[in-house]
Amino acid sequence: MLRNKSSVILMVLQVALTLAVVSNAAYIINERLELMQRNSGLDESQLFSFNIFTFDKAIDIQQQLELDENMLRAIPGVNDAVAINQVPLTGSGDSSGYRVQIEESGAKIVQAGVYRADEHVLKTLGLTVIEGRDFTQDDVIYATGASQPNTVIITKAMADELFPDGNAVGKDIYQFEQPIRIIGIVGHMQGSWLGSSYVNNNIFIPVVHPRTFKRFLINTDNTAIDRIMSNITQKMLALNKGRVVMEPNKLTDDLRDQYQSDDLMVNMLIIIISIILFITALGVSGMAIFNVNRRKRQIGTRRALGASQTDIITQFMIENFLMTAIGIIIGIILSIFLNGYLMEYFSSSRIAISYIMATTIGLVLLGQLAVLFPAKSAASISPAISTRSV
Amino acid sequence: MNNINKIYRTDLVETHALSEFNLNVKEGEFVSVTGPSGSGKTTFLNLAGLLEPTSTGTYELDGINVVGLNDRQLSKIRNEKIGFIFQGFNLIPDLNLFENVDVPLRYRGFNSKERKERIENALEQVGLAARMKHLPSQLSGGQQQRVAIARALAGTPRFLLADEPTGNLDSLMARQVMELLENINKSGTTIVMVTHDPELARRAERNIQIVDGQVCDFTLYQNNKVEAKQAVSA
Amino acid sequence: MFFYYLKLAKKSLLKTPITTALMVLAIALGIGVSMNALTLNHVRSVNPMPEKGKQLFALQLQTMNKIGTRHTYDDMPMQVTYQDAINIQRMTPSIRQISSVKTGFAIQTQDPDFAPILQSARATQSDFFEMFNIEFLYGGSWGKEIDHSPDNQVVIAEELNERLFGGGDNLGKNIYLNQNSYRIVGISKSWNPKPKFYDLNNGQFQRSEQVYIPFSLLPVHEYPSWGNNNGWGPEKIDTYQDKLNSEIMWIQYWVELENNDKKSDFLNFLAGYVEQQKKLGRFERDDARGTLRNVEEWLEYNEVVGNDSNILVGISFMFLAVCLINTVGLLLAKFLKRAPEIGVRRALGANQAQVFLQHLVEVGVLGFLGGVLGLVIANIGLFILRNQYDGFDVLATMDMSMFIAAPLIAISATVLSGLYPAWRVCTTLPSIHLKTQ
Repeated sequence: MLRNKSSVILMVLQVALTLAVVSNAAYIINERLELMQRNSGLDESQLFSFNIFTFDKAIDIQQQLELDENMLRAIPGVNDAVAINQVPLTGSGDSSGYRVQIEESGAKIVQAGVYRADEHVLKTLGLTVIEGRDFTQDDVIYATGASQPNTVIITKAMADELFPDGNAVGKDIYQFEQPIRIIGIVGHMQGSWLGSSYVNNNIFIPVVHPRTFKRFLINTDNTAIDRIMSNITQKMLALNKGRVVMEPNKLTDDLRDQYQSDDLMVNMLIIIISIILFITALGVSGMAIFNVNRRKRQIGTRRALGASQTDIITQFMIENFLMTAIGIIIGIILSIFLNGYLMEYFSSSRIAISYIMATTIGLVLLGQLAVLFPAKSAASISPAISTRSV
Repeated sequence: MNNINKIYRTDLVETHALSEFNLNVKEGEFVSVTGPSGSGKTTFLNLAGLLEPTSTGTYELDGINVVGLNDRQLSKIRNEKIGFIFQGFNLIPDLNLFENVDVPLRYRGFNSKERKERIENALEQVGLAARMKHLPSQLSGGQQQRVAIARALAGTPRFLLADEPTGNLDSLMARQVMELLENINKSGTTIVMVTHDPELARRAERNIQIVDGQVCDFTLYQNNKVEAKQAVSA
Repeated sequence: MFFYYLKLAKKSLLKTPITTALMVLAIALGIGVSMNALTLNHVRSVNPMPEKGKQLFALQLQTMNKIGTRHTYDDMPMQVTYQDAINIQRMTPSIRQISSVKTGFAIQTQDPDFAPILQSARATQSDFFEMFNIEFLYGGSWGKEIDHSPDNQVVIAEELNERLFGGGDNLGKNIYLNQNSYRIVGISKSWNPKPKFYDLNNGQFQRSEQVYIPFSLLPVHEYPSWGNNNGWGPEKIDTYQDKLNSEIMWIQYWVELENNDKKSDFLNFLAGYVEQQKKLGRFERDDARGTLRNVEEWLEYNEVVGNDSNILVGISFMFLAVCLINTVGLLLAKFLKRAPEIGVRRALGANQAQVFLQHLVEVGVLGFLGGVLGLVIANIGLFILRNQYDGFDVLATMDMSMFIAAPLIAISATVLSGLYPAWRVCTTLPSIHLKTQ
């Protein structure tokens, strides 16, 4: 084996690089898939949203919002609808910081996504209150400036952060100096920025701002969503022409758009992993075939001297295993280096050893499989070849 | 103009020892080099053909000392001055006859017109001009060797170096090839032929034997014998 | 000789069709994948203002209190406050600088049947166009005096001009922005820098706005920002004026400084401004300061290229390396197998350099074939990407430089991998392969 030094070195390098690439790529793929498979807390297949821009100054926006919401809620197939300031999972929205004490200094600030709508908001989102109560019509205020209602509902994640000991219901929190009472807690909901650390912190404030730019969120039966979306803009314009109504978007599409770059990464890495394993397997096979041809005489002579077919096969498999082993040792070191480099310069996280191990086992198996066929053909070389003159 | 080969070797070369090896070959001579296996014939061939670089002693080819030259210079001399003929023909299988004879001319740097002329002349000389476009696999052994000879001749070398030229041929083809070589020699080309077949060796005008790395020039002995004979008869 | 080597290469490659096909395929796959990753990366790293980028600077001010944080690595906010924008411009009248912010309108023409369309717009100052080398089809920007005495004047881009009027010289005509009448004073040529460096906040590769109005109109009509509005402290914003007086950061601010002297002068001025504001109770941090970043620095700071893009390029090139190592192995086997023929050539007079070159040409041809096939594969990949993902029309397109790069990288990489096998085959002694005697 050592006589063909350069080929062996090349193969060892190939195995090592393959191990480094595949283990790190597999880890990144898994990381991203976990990210993408997180539960949003919402049933996206039932939700769609659209934006409107009211340009006709003659319109009383507050009044019109009521008319719009009533019209939308009356559409057959619609479970609920609400005018709202931001839509979760879309990548754009509002957020603010909240604290449990009135003094700012020394207070822990919990960042959260802020949702402003009337009392239909939780039902439209499909969320249920797990502690405390839902909003009623009396909780809702209509305001143009910064005035706040004094009741809010928050997600459990936010409650746990603000009040680690529990019992958030009934407690007050502060954004400015006005105390805001938590009247209810809902379960899990992801907000708008899926990459942020506070994506699960969301607060619902029962206030409606009559802004020229407004969003509508509609909850429908899954079967009805396409039908309802198809003529929603016409319905809105029929109600009042003094605004521009934008095309509606399904939340499933918004969510998919948010994960675009992760999806791209996963797909490209899968392609790379598949091809690299294929090429390395071919390389191992090729080199084995080449060796068999080169050593035909030697193999035949061995057989003539008493080696069985199994002996020949075993010899090749062991040789291959040794070479793969060296490649793997170097590859493990390379894997860790590569991961370190990715961590330092591209904010990756530390690879779990299980990925390196799994890839190692995979490569050993692949290598053995790749040598199996050439090894068998080596075993079938006739011992008579040893007596044949060149 | 004198074409003198001087081969003078005083060293051990790998496992083939050539010691105190002196040889002069004059222009136009037909020299055969014989000896048992292991005697150093291969070493002689490799050195004479500049297939291995020489580092000690003197080897003068066509007036130039080729000892210590670098690969580029040696290759140039091989290309221009030596025509090889191998036992195994060594034609390149995927090139046709024209392209095979072409190979040394390409490295010579001739333009395409010059090359075409030389190739056609060479193939004519060995009687295979009609099969220019054929592949070596389509020819008999004897014909392949003749192509090899054409290839060796195409560059008008100073001498042909033949290694067991008829070793892979049956007796009929062998005779044809030898006749061809003799004709080529008669028209003025120097030939150095290495062989282990004494019959073959005798067809050359001068015979050198290498025994244990040393040269014994039997022609001198034979000539002397003839002279002696003549002297006696006269 | 080169053509001779080409001819020999062709014969040699065709002689072992399967091996050749495998090698070409391996190289092509490596190149295809790498070029995909490289294209995605390249598009993001193109400098959209090569001629002037070094003279244009994005201004940042550390106005936050000690608790506030931003997502940038140095905690500096990306945008400035209204009051700072107004102050700084007022205090340095000789420097060309602009404030701008994204807003939007429902646009109507004087044609009553024209259905109103919603368009984003940029509220900025008259120097915006000259600063960023935006040319005009008709007319020009509003006069500098409008930046102080606001008037309803508008510049529209040629695409919008087409859409509203079907093209043509429409200077002096009026359009309605949120039912307010504006007079068209200029129609600008199409301008869509990629990335949208002057405002990277809401989509780095978003199309530029097609409507430009004077920044001075913001307090007049109380237009909201359609971009990011960031605050670090609790401030009650009830009225538009509250927002203008507040520490909310919502304005993009660019300064044009022709040389290093002007730059250091401006930085000095900023240091002085920070000191002055500190006395007024603002800029509470110890490291309160102003910074300037030119276009290239700004793009890097905003991580336009992004980590993902770089990771993908790195892993792709490692993948390419594996493909090439594979090729080296195959070439080595193939060349060494052909050693007897090489021995003959050497005997016939080829020197080492000629044998080496012959093989490099063969390797080069292999690389070229791999590169061409790789280009095809890469473009198929990009095509799939464009169809699979929204917004990738721009991001997944090859420009000329990538097109040429593919075969170039392929050939040079393959030649590099062929160096060792070619060297091995040309340095062996001819006598070994000739089976003499």
